[in-house]
Amino acid sequence: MSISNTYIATEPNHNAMAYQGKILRVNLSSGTICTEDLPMDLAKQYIGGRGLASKILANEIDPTIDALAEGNKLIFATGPLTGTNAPTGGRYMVVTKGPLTGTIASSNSGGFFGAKLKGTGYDMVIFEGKAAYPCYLYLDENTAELRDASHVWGKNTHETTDILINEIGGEQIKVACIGQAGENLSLMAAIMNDKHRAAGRTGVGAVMGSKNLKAFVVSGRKKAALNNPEAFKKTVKEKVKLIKENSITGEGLPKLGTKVLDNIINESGMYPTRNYADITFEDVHEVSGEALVEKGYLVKNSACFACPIACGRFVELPNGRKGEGPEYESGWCFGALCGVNDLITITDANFLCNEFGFDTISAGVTIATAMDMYEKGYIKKEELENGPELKFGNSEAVIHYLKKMALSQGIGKKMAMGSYRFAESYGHPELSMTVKKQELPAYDARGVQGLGLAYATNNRGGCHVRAYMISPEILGAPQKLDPQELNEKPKWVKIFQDLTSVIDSAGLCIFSSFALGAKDYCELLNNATGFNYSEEEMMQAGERVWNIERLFNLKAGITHLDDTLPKKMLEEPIKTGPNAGKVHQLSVLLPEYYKLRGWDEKGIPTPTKLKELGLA
Amino acid sequence: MKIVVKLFATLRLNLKIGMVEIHSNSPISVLQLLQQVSKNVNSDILTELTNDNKILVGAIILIDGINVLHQNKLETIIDKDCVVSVFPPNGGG
Repeated sequence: MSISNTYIATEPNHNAMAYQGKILRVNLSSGTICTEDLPMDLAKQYIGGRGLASKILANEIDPTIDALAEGNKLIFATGPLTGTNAPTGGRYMVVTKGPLTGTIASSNSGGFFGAKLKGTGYDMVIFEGKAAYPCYLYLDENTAELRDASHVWGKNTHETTDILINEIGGEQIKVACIGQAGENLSLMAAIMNDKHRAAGRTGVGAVMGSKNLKAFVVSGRKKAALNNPEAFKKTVKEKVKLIKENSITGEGLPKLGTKVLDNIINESGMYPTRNYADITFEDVHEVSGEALVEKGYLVKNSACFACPIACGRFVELPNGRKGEGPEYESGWCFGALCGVNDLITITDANFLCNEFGFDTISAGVTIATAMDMYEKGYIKKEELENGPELKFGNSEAVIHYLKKMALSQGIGKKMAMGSYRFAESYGHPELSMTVKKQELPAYDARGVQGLGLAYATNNRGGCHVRAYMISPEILGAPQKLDPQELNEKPKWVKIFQDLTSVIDSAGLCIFSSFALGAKDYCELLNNATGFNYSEEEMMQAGERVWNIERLFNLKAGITHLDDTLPKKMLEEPIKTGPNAGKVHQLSVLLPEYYKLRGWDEKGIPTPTKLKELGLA
Repeated sequence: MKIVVKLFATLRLNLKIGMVEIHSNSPISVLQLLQQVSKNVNSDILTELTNDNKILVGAIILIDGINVLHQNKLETIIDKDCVVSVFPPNGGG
C-alpha cells in the first residue's frame, strides 16, 4: 500500500560527471517526496558520500538537537565512484547525528546496496521528519514511494529483507533495514544492507527507528556519465592490478580475511581480554581466523560490488546456521573480551547481531562490561531474572543478553543504551572502555600510540577505521613505524584521517588503501569527475571534511575534554608482555596534533585554518 | 637455547604446522633461524616472508612480541630462549 505520492524521477543532471546530480528528499511527516539538484560546487569541495552529506547535515540541522528527535535527518549518500568499476566502488554512507555519542555519525557500508542506490538516479537520499506509522521507501529509476511496513515491523533484518524482496519481486532489488534493535531505539542499533553488511556504528539504526522508517528498498542500474571513460577504464585496470599484486590485498585478505588479526594482535601483546584485565588470550588458538578454517566453518570468501579483494567470509556452523562473518572486531568482542573461547558462540553472536541489527563492537563490549560489573558485585544476581550468570567465559550469557538487549527486555533494556550509560547508571563509568561514549575496538591503545591518538581525536568517538594506524604501526604498510615511538605520530594520524575522509567521500573501501595511495585516488577521481584535483587539493578536500565534522561536534557541545581515552589507558601500565610498563602518552601527542591541524589549544579550528579551507 | 617458532596465517594453514622448536648451542640470526625452520618443515618459508633478502611489506616477524624491523631485521641475533612469531603479509581492519 502506498502512503505517499508516487514520484517520478526527472531527467538526469548532464553537468554532473560521475554523479547523478540529484538528491531525493523524503519528508516522512508529510509524505512528500521531491528532487533537487546536487550542489556541484559543494561536490567539488567535499567530494561526495561522507563529505558532502556531512556538509548538508551541518547546514540543515541544529547540532544540539536530540539525535532521536524528529528534527534530526538521516542521509544515505553515495560517492562519485560508487557504482562505477573503480576497485571497491560499492560503498555508501549513512550520515546523521549519532545518538550513542552526540557527535556527527557517518557509518560506512559495503555490499551491493550502494551501487543499486546510485543506479536509481540519485546520489543521495535525505529522510526528514517522522512517519506516523512504520513505513519503507521504495525507490527505482522511475518511482519513489513510501509504503506501509507494518507487516515487517517486529521482524529481524533477514526476515524483512526476504519478505520485501518476495513481495516486490525482481533480482535487482536491494534492501537496507533495521531489526528489533533499531525499532527499540537501542543506541547501538545498526542499519543492515544485503543482510550481512552493516552501517554499524554510533546508533544510526536507532535514528532510522525513531523515524518509523523500517527499510529502504532500491533497484536501479542507471550509470552516471564519466568525464573521460577511456582514461577511467585504463586507470581502473592499473589500480586493480596494483591491488591484486599487493601481498595484503592480493593474498592475505582474500585467504584469511580480517580475522588473521587475532593472532597478530595477541602475539603483539595488545589483545584486550576480559574487559582489559589482560592483554593476551590464552585460548586465542580456538577462536582465531586460522581456527575458523581449521574447524571447517569457512565455506568461501565473499566480495562486495566491484571488489577485487574479497575479504568477506561466508561460514556455516555445525548447528546449520550460516552467514557472513565474523570479522576481526566482531570475533574479538564476543570472544576474548568476554573471555569466551567457543567459536560457535562467537560466530552465532555475530549472526544474531546481523539479524537484530546491532553494531557488533558496541554490543560485545557492552556485554563484556556487564560481565566485569557482575564479577565485581555491582550487578546483583536478582537483576538477571534467572538468566545465565554474567561471568567471563560464559558463552550462554553472550547469546542470552544479546537477545535481551535487542528485545529491550529486563536488564537488556539498560544494556541496550551502550556500555557507558549502562556502567554509569551503576556509578562505574570507568569500566566502560569508550571514547565519546562509543565502544573502543580490538586494539589496546597502550600498545600502539598512534592508534590511541586516532581513537581520542576521532570525530565519531571510539573507532579504528578513520585512521587505521594498525597498518603502519603493526602490519608495516606502507612502512613500519615503531608502535611505541611518539615522533611523527600526530602527522601520520592527520594524513590517515584526511585520506580516509577522501576514500569514504569517494565511495571506495578503506582496504584499497593497503595497495593504493593518494596519487591513485586522485587519478580515479579526476578521470571520473573531471574536477582536475591536484593531490594537495584532494587531500585538502579530505581535511575540509574532517573540519566540518569537528565544527558540527563543537556546536553539539563536544569539547577538547572529550578528546581523551579511558583512564585505564592513560594511568594503568600494561602488566606483561612486550608492552609491559606502557601507558598511552596522549598528553604528549594531543597538543602536537591540534597544532598540526591548525587548531588552538582547545581543539577549535583557528580563523586562519577556516579561511584556508574556505570555511570562514 | 630453545626457540619456539610459531607459524601463523597461510603458513600454518598450508603447512599444517603451527609450531616448530629449534635448539641452538650458539646465537643465531633471524635469517638463519628461518632457514632452519624451512628445513624442518620441508618448505622454503622465506619465499612467503622475504624478497631479495628484505622482509616483505606486511610480513611480520616478532621476537617475544617485538617486531624485528625495529631491531636488526633479518640480521637480528637471538641469543636466549624466546618465542618467534611469524606471519606472511596480511591485513585487516
